[in-house]
Amino acid sequence: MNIIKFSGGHDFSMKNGPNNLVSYLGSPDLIGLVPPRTIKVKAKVLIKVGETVKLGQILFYDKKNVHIKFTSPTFGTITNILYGNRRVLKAVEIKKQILEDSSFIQFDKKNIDKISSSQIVSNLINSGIWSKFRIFPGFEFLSDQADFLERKSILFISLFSTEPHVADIQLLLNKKTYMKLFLYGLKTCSKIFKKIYIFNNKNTFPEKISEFSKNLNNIFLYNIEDKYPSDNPGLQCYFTNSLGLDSLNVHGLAFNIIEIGHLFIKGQMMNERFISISGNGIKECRNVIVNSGVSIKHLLQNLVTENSNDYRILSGGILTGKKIFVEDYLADEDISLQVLLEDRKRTLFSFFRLGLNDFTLLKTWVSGFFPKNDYNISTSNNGEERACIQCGYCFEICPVKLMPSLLMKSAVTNDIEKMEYLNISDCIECELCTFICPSKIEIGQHIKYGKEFIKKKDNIYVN
Amino acid sequence: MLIETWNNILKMSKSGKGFLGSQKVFLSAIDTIIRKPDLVTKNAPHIREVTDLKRIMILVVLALIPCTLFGIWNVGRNSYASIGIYDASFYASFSEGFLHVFPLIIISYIAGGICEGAFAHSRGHEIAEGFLVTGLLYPLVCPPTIPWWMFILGIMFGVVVGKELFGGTGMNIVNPALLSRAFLFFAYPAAISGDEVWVKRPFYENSDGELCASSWTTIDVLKINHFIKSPHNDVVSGQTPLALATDLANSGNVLNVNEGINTTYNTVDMFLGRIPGSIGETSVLMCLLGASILIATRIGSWRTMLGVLIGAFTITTMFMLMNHSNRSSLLSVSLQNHLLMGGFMFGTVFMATDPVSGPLHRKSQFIYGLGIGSLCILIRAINPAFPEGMMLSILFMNIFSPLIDHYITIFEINNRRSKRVQ
Repeated sequence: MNIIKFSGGHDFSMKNGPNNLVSYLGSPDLIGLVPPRTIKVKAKVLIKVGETVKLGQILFYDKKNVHIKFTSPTFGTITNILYGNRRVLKAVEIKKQILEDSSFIQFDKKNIDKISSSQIVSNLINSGIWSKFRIFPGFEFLSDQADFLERKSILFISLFSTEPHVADIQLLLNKKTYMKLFLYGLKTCSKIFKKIYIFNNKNTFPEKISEFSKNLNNIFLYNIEDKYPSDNPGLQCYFTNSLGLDSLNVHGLAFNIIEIGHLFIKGQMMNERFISISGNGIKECRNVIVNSGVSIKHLLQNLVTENSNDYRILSGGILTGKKIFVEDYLADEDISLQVLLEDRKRTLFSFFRLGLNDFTLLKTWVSGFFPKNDYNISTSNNGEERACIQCGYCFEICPVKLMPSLLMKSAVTNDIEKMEYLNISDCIECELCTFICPSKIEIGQHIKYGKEFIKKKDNIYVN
Repeated sequence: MLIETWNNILKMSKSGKGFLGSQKVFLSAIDTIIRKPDLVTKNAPHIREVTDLKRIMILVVLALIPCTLFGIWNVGRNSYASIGIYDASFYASFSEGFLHVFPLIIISYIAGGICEGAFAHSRGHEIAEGFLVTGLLYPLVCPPTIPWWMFILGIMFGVVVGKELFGGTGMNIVNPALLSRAFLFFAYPAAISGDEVWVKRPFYENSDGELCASSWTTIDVLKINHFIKSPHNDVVSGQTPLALATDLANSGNVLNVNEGINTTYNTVDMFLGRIPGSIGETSVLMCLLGASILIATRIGSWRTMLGVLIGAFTITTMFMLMNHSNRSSLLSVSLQNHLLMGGFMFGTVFMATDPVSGPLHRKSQFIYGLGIGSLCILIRAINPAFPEGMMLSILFMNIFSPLIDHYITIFEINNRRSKRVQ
């Protein structure tokens, strides 16, 4: 099997990663359901405080896209509905009760071969799993159902993660029960998606998956180079030539496939999550299986410091992650939690050092010539923002061969034509350009702003 | 204690009130030079590359240091040679050169720094580090005899017109150090071209036409007077190899211009840099040392450097073939001599690789280099008015680099699109 290779990108390896053990963590009484962190949702709440909800019951949906539904992660009573500024829904808090047989919403549990594909889709929508898929370009929710089955849809699944410290899903797949759920989920998906691309970074696939894929003619296995960001769906789209106008590129986490398997085998929603907890701000790094919707406070019991100014909590990896707070609850897309200590050290004459132990991708320090495997994570900005000097480092590191600095300049000037000419929608938001920029320009943020600007203008034009 | 006081001063300046508030830009510039700023990342990515602009600029300065030190020594050596002393000690030569070159470097940093600081202050943004390099490059491409007032005028023109009017660091179209030199070259041609300006002589001609020992020198006055008063004092010519080549070709006295050059300046001397010329540009060896630093740290583009060499090679070979019967004209100067003469190597290594005024794409860097190399030889060989072509060719290609980038961008995007549509 050929390995997909690409220029740019980098193989990150960092200290303070999680160990390989998977442990179960108990769950507290108070469970919360939060809307996705990366996409804004205009929530229509269907329940009231004091109501009792079943596991899998729809709590709210997106007004803009009614197929995007969010279901209860547990069985219990609603204690609180939290709103933020301008009545944006922040969380629904549920007091957990002991699970019984009647505390689940029951879905079809028939043999998968006997269920029609439109029935599968409606089950996925009603169980809320539909809201966990993202499409590329755009990293948006899946479009509506009627359109979906007719289009040439491709599902992209990665069995690995290249971002440092993110939980490795293969640890879970090594367990028989989860592998069974995964394969069943894959079978279900193969009925509704035209093609399924599965990616791995280890040259070989787990035996069961490669055997299983031989029986189904629309599952394709790809090996891809093991460096960041090869698990990014955008990059996978680009290197499998599926960025055509007619195809619908859907990205799902491997864990979502396990959930689908669970839904169609047992007829119930799965209420577990597999995440990694790591970073230099935490004493014990580990991979854990927890109940979905537990509070972040419960997960991060052994922080190094108490002062909340001294650390930051991230959902996701250290390159693409989003800042969250201790008061938050675990969201569906959280595949890893990282606690990083803020690095505000003021080194004297830092640019005169030899740099024997600095993490760099350039050759401007001694450690650039002798790269080591382990580096300490530092949240320091390492300098102030300056004007772009056209060094071209971002061109070299961009894995999909975009021109980040030119995109940044056209986004700053709101030049829509130039942005579209430079294929702004192909940006996979891996943030490597921002990482490497010696002028410390937030290139990624500028490009994201440009994308949003185009979307806003498009909407005005359509309406 | 000291740190606390300093922190308080900074805090007061950041509030923007009073005298300290008005000096915010300068205080924070000093602060960030001494200590790494305490900023942390705001958004993803939460980790950042260690290298910042300060580091890159300091490495370029590091790469320039061999040229600077050699230039200082060479200026002193030439001074001694001009009064007939060829065996001056290293220390004597170096201290004599230091006396002439060091003030220029200091003046360049102060005068340019004031312009840079004034603009940064009026715009309210930080002082950019790019000037660290410009301030050192500029004295190295000037002759050692340049009057200070002229020198100051040059750097101010370069920084203000070449850089700040376009929006400061990162926005300049042409290399400010070279623009400063070009300004002097066209405004005061007598001070920057000809045969007399390249050697700092320890004596001067007063209004009566008599030679007098100058006071701004470390050389023993007795030695200078001895030289002036001796009857056989044929003043050693300070002609650069390039000017010599032009003279030889125009006079038509020699059969082979290459031999003519090499009888006066042998190849080893030219390679090591023991010849008259601008302060820092004479030594090819030191330029190569600087080039190795720039290429190893990936700051200077090796593509540009290679492009310049290939461009020069192509045009030289073409001229050789066109003109193979007549070896006396400038067209038949060999590639070897072209590389060793004048500022070719210095321009290739330090001026052409300036990222701001150069092109962005890796492919266009090569084309840009080709343009510089071939234009330089073209100007040197065909244009009778300018013996040196490096400065003009780099400035010319600086202006063309956005155009090259434009077409390479179209090329790359089309490549990408063909992949996208399948």
